Formats: sequence, C-alpha cells, structure tokens
Amino acid sequence: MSEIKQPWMSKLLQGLGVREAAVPTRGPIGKACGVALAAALTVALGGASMEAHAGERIKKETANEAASTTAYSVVGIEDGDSKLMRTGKVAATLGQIALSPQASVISLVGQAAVGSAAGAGSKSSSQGKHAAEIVGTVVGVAVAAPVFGVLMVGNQARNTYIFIQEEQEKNVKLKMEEVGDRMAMVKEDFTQQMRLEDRAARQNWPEDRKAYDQKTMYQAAVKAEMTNGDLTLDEQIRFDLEAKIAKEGGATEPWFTQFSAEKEQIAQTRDAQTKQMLADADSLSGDKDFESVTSKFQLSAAQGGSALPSSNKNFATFSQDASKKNDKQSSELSR
Amino acid sequence: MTLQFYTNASDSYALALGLNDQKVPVCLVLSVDSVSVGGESIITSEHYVLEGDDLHISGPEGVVVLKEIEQACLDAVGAKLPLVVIDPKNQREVMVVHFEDPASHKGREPLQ
Repeated sequence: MSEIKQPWMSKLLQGLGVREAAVPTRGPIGKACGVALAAALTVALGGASMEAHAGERIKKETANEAASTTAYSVVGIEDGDSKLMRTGKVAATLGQIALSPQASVISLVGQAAVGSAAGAGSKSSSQGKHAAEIVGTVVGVAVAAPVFGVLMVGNQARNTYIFIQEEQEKNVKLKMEEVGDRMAMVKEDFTQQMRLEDRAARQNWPEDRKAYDQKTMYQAAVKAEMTNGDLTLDEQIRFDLEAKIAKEGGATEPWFTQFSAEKEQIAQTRDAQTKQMLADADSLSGDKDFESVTSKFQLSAAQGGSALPSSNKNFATFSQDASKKNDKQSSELSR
Repeated sequence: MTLQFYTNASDSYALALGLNDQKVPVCLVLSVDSVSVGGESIITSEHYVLEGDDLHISGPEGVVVLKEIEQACLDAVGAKLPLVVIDPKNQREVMVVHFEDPASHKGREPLQ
C-alpha cells in the first residue's frame, strides 16, 4: 500500500482549461472504454478529491482494491481483465466515487451510470442489439474538487456521471458548430483587416500610379454597370470594401465616390439603351414581311414533321430545304 | 522495421472531447486504456492525422488507428485541437498535435 500525498493531475488538461469531458461511445466494448476513460479523466482532472472521498467507500467493496491509491486500483481493473469485465467493475464503483460535498447528488446520478453501463454490458451481450447500434452515450465528467476550489452547482450536477443520450450529444455538436462559426468570424475579420491594409498601402502609391488605378477601377465599375456584367474578383473585393465603408459613413476612394454619384445616370442610360434595343426588336417582328415568312416557315416545318419518326437526319435536311424555299419565297415577297 | 498498426474498430475505443468552463471543446482526450489495442504505444505518440473518418495517431512505437470517429470529434480534428493522452496509473501524459508541415505555422489559428 503506497500513499501518494500529492495526487497526480493532468497539467495539460489543466492548462487547456478542461473542466468537463464528453465521451461518446459505441457498443458495449466502447462503453467499457468510455467508462475507463471517464475514470482516468476523473483522476486527471482532480484526483485528490476522488481519493479522499472514494477511498473509504470502496474499502467496503473489497479491501484489496481500496488498498491502492490510484484510480485504477480503486475501480479494480486488473491487467488481465477483458473490456467487458471492466464495464462491470468500473460501473459498479463509479457511482461510489464522490467528488464533491454534494455527495448525495453524485451518488444519485452515479446510480444512473451504473444502471446504464450494466445494461450495455448484460443486455447487449444477451440480445446482441446494442453492439450494432450507435449507443451515443456521453459520459459527462464535471469536477468540483476542492483542489479547484469550485463547488458544483445544481444544474451542473446534471452533467456529472450521467449517461446522457442523444440530447447531450446534440449539444456537443452544437458547441462544435459554435467553435466553427467563431473561427470563421475570426478569419473574416482577418481578411477584412488585410484588405484595409492593402487599401491604406494604395494611398501611398505615387500620384501617377494612383491616378491610373483610380481610372481603371472607375472604368471597370461603369462597364460592369452598363453591361450588367461582372467585375473581376479583385475588383469586386475592392468594390465591396468601398461599399461597406460608404455604408459606415467613411470616406471612399475617388473612383467609388465618382461612380456612386453617376451610378443612377449610368443605370438610366443603360435602361434607355435596353429599351431602344427591345423596341428595335419589336419593330422587326412587327414587320409584315418578317411575320409572313415566319408563319410560312412554321407551316413548312409542320409539314416536315411527318419525316420525323423515320430519321432526324431527314428532318434536318428537309427543314433546311424548307428554309431555303422560304428564303426564296421571302425574297420574292419582299420584291 | 515496419511500423506496427493497431486498428480499433468504431465500437472498441472511447475518445473524449475536453470542454472548458464555457463548455467549448478545447481538446480531444484519450487514456491509454480507452482503446482496445495499442494503448501503451499512444503515450509516446507525437502526431495525429485524419484519414477519411479514421484517426491515425502515430509515434515511434507504431500507429494507433481509431475507425470512424464521431462527428463531434471530426469537427475537433478539423479545428486542429490538440489530443491529450493520459495515463494516470503511471502518472504520464502527452500532448499529440495535428500533423502538418513543420515549416508552416500558418495553418494554426488560435481559438477565441
């Protein structure tokens, strides 16, 4: 029997600020591993408390197991044990590991853990069900050890040693998404900052280069507006940046200021041009000759439809012929 | 010498997410006995890398493969969170980092 005065704790986990762990597991062996991991985490996150509170209780179970001070001996795992043996042993003692002054709460949820783990061990082996399905068990390990100087509050106790099913797993996933979103935001901010730095750098360009750049950007913006076309990626980035600055009430680059001022007019010009083009097209289709040619052509095509089932090639030839005929007719008509 | 592979099927290991007091995942956690095979070798491992949905944890003693890790853990790997391997019995621990080109430190962004 060796006494460890200063129980081991994981400096890495402590350094990372880990206070809880979610352990998703699948199947009975996975669950046994999960329970082993939960026990290891318990030690790693606040072994002192566990030892102080757990030691005596375990002694009632087997004196031999209580003799050692490490968690592994506490839960009675021996090297030869199979993973399934571990399930039973760990689960049986897990509920006994008291972590905080609120021992009653812990032992209550500890019971739930025992029930769940035992179920996974016995039922699944007899029914062969659980092994195949994803059990999705989550072992929540929250530590409120005196070492940490933090007491567990009521709602946090819910996460302690309860085998929480899907709901908790979903929560963990949501939390991961939050992290993802946050990283995306950081990235976004970073990109924005880089663009602003580029913009500031442009201010320090020599005058002629600056003027040329401004002119190019202005022309690109006008062209895109006139043709409803796209800017290049670089131009679009600069356009969006200026638009954002304008929206925030900042001073935009001259090309954007000029373009914004004229944008309305450019749009009007474009609309007028479009209208004119449409009108031209309308007047074209309104042309009597054109109309008669079209209807004749359609008639020919309809007649040619009979050639369709045999071969498309025939139809193509036929319609070509038909259109040639139409051409002839139309030239005659227009005369 | 060939590298020893220890493959753990999807239902024969447990991989935890370490959460901080805001319940934000900050690392992945394994203990030497939370994998069915190769547990002793992961305490000396150095890098991990994702191959499909499988986590490969490599070190001088071999490669421990965890098949089809959970989505939440995949996300953590995607965020390049460190993997902490603990062995309370022998009072050992090791931080295993996501494998990347040692010349590049640009890929790692701090979690806010």
